[in-house]
Parts: sequence; structure tokens; C-alpha cells
Amino acid sequence: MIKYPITFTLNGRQVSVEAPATVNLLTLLRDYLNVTSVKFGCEQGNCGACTVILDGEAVNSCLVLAQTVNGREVTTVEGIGTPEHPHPLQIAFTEHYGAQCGFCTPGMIMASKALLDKNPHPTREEVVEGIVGNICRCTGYNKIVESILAASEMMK
Amino acid sequence: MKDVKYFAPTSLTEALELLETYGPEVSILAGGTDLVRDMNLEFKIPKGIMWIGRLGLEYIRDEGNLIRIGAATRMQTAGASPLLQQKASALARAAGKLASPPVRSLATLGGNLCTASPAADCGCALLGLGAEVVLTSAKGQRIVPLDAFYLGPNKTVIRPDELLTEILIRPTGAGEGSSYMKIGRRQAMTLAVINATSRVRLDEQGKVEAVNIAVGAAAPTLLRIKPAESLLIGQPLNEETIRAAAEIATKEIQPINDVHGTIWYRRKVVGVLVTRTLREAAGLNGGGNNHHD
Repeated sequence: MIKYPITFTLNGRQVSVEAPATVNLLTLLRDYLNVTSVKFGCEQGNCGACTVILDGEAVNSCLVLAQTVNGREVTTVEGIGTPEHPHPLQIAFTEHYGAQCGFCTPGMIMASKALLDKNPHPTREEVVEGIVGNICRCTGYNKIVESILAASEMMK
Repeated sequence: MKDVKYFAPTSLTEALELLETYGPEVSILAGGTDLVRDMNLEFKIPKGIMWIGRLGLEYIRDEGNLIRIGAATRMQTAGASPLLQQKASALARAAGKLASPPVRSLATLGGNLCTASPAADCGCALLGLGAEVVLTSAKGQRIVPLDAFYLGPNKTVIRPDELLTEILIRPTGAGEGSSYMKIGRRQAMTLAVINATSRVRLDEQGKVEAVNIAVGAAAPTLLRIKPAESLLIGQPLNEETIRAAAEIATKEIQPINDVHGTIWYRRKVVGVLVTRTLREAAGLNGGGNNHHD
């Protein structure tokens, strides 16, 4: 099978990998690069579990053909903080019980990071609108919204 | 699995040459929200893929009496454009509310048109605005009005060697407005059960000088309700004439029963949306209640 080379910046580091044309960014991250925070949910852009930041914007990685990230910048939840120095969103999701089973959490955090990068102090309604494409099947939405608002406070 | 070719041209000339050679077997990839989803679900595995994200086709240009929009302009760009919000507000609203933010940072206007879903949000807004599309091939260009663009569900007049490169809209001017509304099963992330767009220009006496009415999810393609438009021309726009236009829409559509809605419901609700979009486009009492705003 023809494989095409892809070189891009992943969490601040340049990576090179070869993959067939049909592979999407979600599969590239999980199966080729072992970035398992990015979750495989619906593969249709409906659930948001695979949300990553591509060139500064939240995208569903399952809808991005891996070849098209050549030369671009991808950030996953591993790239925004470390256990020693977590991102305010990572602190807030822990302190405000924003994660229950945790499956939606990486996608939720990346969608909210893209929101806060553009709008550092959103209203509750803007937060809800920002995560409208991310499904939490534990239905812990209130705690998630509280976590995002708390992170925004922390970043003041 | 069979080999799939991938092309990422960096100029329009290169892209058109590729289509000239490989046209029939190449699927054009813009935002990927339809094509990559169909590939993921194995509904469709193309023989070749040509990505058009490097052709400089994301722009919105104000040329006074014409707005030119690059076909690869994404939903979030269109939704946030002050020019579109002011002079093609139906499109700004359709694009700004489509699906979710992560989908809006991928999905493109050209893609929304070429997928040719009978329920397309931006397709409905653009049809109601009276937009035209520029189809470009290595041999030349043709301009097609959107009401001659759709042939059926997922079918358009685009030839395999052609690329939809630009969307043309006449901006709304004095005495003129547009409105897009949608009823879905929820507010976000949803296919329209019915959507509608109206564009209205009133003369100084408040009579209808020009009007377009388009509805979606109501027939095999997006549909202009031309008998309702003819009825309104030269008439004052009031509750009586609006009701008459809405009743025509109820009869003109050919809806189906599916998981999204029933024929009965679609006929009920299409009249409501035609009424509200006509009112809003004409600046009458804010268009009435709409759950989406």
C-alpha cells in the first residue's frame, strides 16, 4: 500500500511518520504515534472525544485527513501542561470534579482551551456554546462548565 | 485495502490540471467533515483524494455590488464576518450556528454546496440569497445560479474536471434584508428537520420589489418556492400576504418521513419558518419567536 510521509509539530516537537492516504488524524495519533489521550468515539464528528487543537483551533481529529496536517501544528492534552505544571484547565477539572469516567475529558479540555484562547473570560452561555460538540455520557455537564469557568478565573 | 492516491496541489492551475487528468476518480477534499466521515464509516473509499486547502480559496471580498467568497472559506470565518453579518445575514447565521465549533473550524461553504444535502444549512441560506457559483476547469469558467446547480440528493451539475472556486452574492442594500432559520431536533449538532431562508426588498411604499424564498429538508433538493415569490411581488408585506406565501410553501414541498421528522410535521413547520424568515428579512417584529436565537 502506498504510504505518504507526514511531518508536523506535535505538542511542540517535530515528528515524521508515514501513513496511507485514508488514515485520519485520530488514528495517526493513537496507532502511529501512541498519543492515547485522543479518544476514538463516533468517527463522525458528533461526539468530540477526539478533539485536538490544529493551528490554534479546536477540530475533530477523526474528520481531519492525516496527510493534511503536513507542516502544521497539532496540540493534544499532553501538550498543554505537565503533572508538575498543569494547565489551569487541568487543575480546575480536577478540583471541580469536571471528570467522571474521564473518556470525554481530553476532548473537553482541548475544546475549552481553544475557547479560552480566543475568549479568556467567557460567560456561562459562551462556555456551553464552546463545548456543544463534546458529549459527556456521564452527563456531568454542570461540573464541566464550572471547571471551565473556574479555569478562566484562575487565568485572570 | 486498495491504494488510494493523495494530491495536495499548491496552486489552482495545478489543481485544475490534476482534475483534467484524474477527474472522474478523484474526490475533492475541502474541510473533510463529509468526505472523511464517509471514508471512516466505509460508505465511500475514493480512488484518489485531492485536498484543496492550499489553493488560497479562503477569502471574503467586498466589491461594492458583489460579495466574492472563496469556496474553501470555513464556517467560522463566514459566521464571524462583519460583511456577511451585515449584507448577507442569512448566510452568517447559517454558518455561525452549523454543527459545533470543532466542525465549524473545518467545514467549508463550497463543501456544503457540493455535498448537495437537501437539508444543507449554508446551501439553503445561499439559495435564498440568490447566490451563484463559479465552476472552474482547465478549459475555462462558468457561472451557475444555485437554483440551477442541484440535480438531486448529493448530485450537482459540476463536471469531474471542474472545481467550485467561488461563491457570488449580491449584498443586501437599502430596504432589503435576509433571514435564515432552522428547526432541528436539538439546537446544535443537528440536521435540519426543516430550514428556510427569505430575502426581501421593499420599495418606498413598503411593497415587495424582490423576494426569494428557499427551504431545505423538504424535497429531494433544496427548493425555491417560486409561486410564493410571484404572489408577493408588488404586494405590501403584511400578515395576510405572508400567510398566503407560507400556505403555498406548505403545498409546494415534497417532504418525506424519516428519522428526523415526519411529512405531517414538516408541512406544519415549513409554513412557520417561511412566515418568520419573511418577517425578519423585512424587519417586521423581529421575525417572531425562534428557538435558535
